[in-house]
Amino acid sequence: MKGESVMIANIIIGGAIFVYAGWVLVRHVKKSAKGTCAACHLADRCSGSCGPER
Amino acid sequence: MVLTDLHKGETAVVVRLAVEHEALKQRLLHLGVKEGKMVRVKAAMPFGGPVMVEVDGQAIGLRRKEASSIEVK
Amino acid sequence: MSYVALFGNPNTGKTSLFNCLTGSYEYVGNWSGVTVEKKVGVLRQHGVPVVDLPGIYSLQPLSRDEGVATDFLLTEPCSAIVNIVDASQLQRNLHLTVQLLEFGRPLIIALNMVDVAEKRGIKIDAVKLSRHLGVPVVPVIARTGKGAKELERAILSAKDGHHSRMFIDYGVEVERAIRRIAEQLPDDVPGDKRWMALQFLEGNERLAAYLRDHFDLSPLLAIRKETEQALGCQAAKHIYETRDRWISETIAAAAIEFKPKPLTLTEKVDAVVTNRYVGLPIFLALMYIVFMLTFNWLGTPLADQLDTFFSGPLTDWLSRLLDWAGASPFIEALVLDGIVAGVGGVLVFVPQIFILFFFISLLEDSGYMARVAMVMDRLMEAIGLNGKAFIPMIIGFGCNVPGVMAARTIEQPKERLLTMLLLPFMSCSARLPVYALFAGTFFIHEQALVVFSLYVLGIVVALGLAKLFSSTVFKNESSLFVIELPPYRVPQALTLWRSTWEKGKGFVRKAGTFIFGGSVAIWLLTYVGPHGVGVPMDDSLLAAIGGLIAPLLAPLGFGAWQAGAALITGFLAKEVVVSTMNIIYHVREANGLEQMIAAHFTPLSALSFMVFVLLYTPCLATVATIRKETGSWKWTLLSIGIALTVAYMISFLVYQVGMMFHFQ
Ligand SMILES: Nc1nc2c(ncn2[C@@H]2O[C@H](COP(=O)(O)OP(=O)(O)O)[C@@H](O)[C@H]2O)c(=O)[nH]1
Ligand SMILES: [Mg+2]
Repeated sequence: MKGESVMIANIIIGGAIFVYAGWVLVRHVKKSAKGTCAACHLADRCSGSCGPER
Repeated sequence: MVLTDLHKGETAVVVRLAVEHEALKQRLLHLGVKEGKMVRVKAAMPFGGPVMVEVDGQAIGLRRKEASSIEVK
Repeated sequence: MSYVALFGNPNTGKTSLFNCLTGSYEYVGNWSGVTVEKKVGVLRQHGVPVVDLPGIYSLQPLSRDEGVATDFLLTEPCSAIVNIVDASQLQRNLHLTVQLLEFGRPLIIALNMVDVAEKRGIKIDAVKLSRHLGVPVVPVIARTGKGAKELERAILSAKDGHHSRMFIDYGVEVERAIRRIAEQLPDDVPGDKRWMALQFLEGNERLAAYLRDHFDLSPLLAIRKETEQALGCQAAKHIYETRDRWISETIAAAAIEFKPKPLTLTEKVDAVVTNRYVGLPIFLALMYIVFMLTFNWLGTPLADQLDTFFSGPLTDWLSRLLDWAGASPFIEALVLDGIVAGVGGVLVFVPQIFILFFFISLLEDSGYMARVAMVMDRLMEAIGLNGKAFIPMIIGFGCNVPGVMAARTIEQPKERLLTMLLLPFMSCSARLPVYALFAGTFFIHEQALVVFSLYVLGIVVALGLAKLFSSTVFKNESSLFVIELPPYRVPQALTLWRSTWEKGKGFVRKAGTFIFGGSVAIWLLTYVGPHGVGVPMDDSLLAAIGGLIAPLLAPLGFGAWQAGAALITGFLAKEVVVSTMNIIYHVREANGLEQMIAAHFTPLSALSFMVFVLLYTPCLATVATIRKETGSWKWTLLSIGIALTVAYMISFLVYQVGMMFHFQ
């Protein structure tokens, strides 16, 4: 019984970490590829350099 | 006389804006540098750098070359 | 969706007002060209969308950011225009107001900076001004939010309503031309036909380009030519002068008490910072003080305390928690050797980053920024750029992405392009942890000096390349420089804190998201090998990847796979270089990392490594921004190519010359 619940806890912790890590990685690469830098003050609102292309 | 002939702190009236660059001339007009306006030289950067002039209480930096095509008296 | 649009001259407080109205925290600074992109928000409680736009002097754009505002009028529907007018500079502000009135949408004037005007002895009668212009005029102080409620009410009641009946008679010739042009215009043009005709006569290129897409312009050009012959001067000049006279009359009627007083604070400060002899030395001295504070006096002691906390109590506490939950060794290693090492290794530098951001904000909000541009112009002219290019460079010290975008304010296309291509050499805050780690390990006593030299090296390389390019590829293009120098304002504590926080919180957030994810991925790569899992690190996948480029880097002094791996991951975001190093060299005890690094690097190779990280390639986000802003892959790839080549050459020089002199 004890062993099993520990196993489950491990799977949940590990799974959560990996899922979250994968998700933020994908999101970062997607956002960066649009030209948004997470470490800049525009990060929240800026959808990249969205000016008219000429 | 042109703007660059003025010494620091001196005031004069613009008589002609003979700036060649059209866009620059527009910008100067919109900043209030135009015929009949009083201008005052506030500072000049060394080695032929820009001059700082004041019009209507607004300070503007511009290059010596352009400043020398602004005639004053 | 129909917007309420904020128009006004640069630096009149549009963004401050936008923030008051919508409750946003957009970027405010005391120089022209802070906002280079349109920003959308919502009027609180009413759900009305509001747009903040870059500042303009007239509707004829001279630079990219100004084009954004004109394009907005031409292509987006707006239900009302809020024109922010600087009460202390009424004459020139009203030139834009007239053009906006002629556009023929409901307009509300927000009379801002009334506090500044009053200090200068100018008082404006809002009621009289309103009567004269035929639109509501609301006095506000955008900085404190005074008058925002009244303005909101005025906007809501004017929205979608009538527009002003104000009319300026431009004289027979121009009026005839206006009628003839208006007849030719199709019915669905944005704005009033009279407005459009006037803008065309004034030579608005943006508008001409817009019209050209719809029909043949030659009859209109003929009309303009005829009119100019009849006037004996350019139509633009005539129109400008007519407006100017009209504005003078308006002001004479509405402004009371003109007794101009000099701005004593600004005068005094300017006498020093723009002094012929000490102007430049003062700038350099201020920068040096900033670095000493960031690295020696304040930042590093704080960072050390954080580091002790992470590697001591936090690690203990986490490992006890994991034990209690019965975590397997795998999970424990993932958390302690991966996440804590990777994320914590970057987070310890938060104090330094915030201090640096604080000073950048101070620079932005005080009004010194524009002075720096002027003080630098002579030098920049010599290398084929102009002083304004220095502003994007300073912003680039925070993050290269907004730096590249700030280059929009540079009028000449060539100067703008050059500025964007060379901007990645400005050492952004993401590179700072790398310096802090390596300089903190190998150059404990000279830390500030070493880091300062790196920043200077970035600037010198950028300027050197600018000289090279402007005397080869971009020869014979005229350069242009004119800059508005705003009065100094004593920064408000709240604004200062807010803009520091807005910049810094991105860094913290990044640590919790991307760097967390990156750390997990990197740790996994060290755990998994081509021949199984749980392998020694030297047989891991990460070692294999790093090993691919390691031989190339050997002549630079850091040919181990560890350095190669860190540099590759750093392309995604430069902080990750430090995360990777931390994970690779992680030992679960305080100061373990520095000992490990000291075993793998010498002071010389550490220096060479820092130089390489400074120069080697813009990060992914910057690359994407350069691509968007230049609209060309060719220039983007060139920017990366130059960076890699220059980085390699200079690091090579540093290392080989250092070896020659037996400097280890
Ligand atoms: N004294 C004073 N300063 C103001 C007022 N409104 C804005 N400012 C300052 O003017 C500067 C420019 O503001 P900002 O909103 O960025 O102007 P924008 O360029 O038009 O968007 C900032 O330093 C503001 O703090 C005001 O009503 N009074
Ligand atoms: Mg703004």
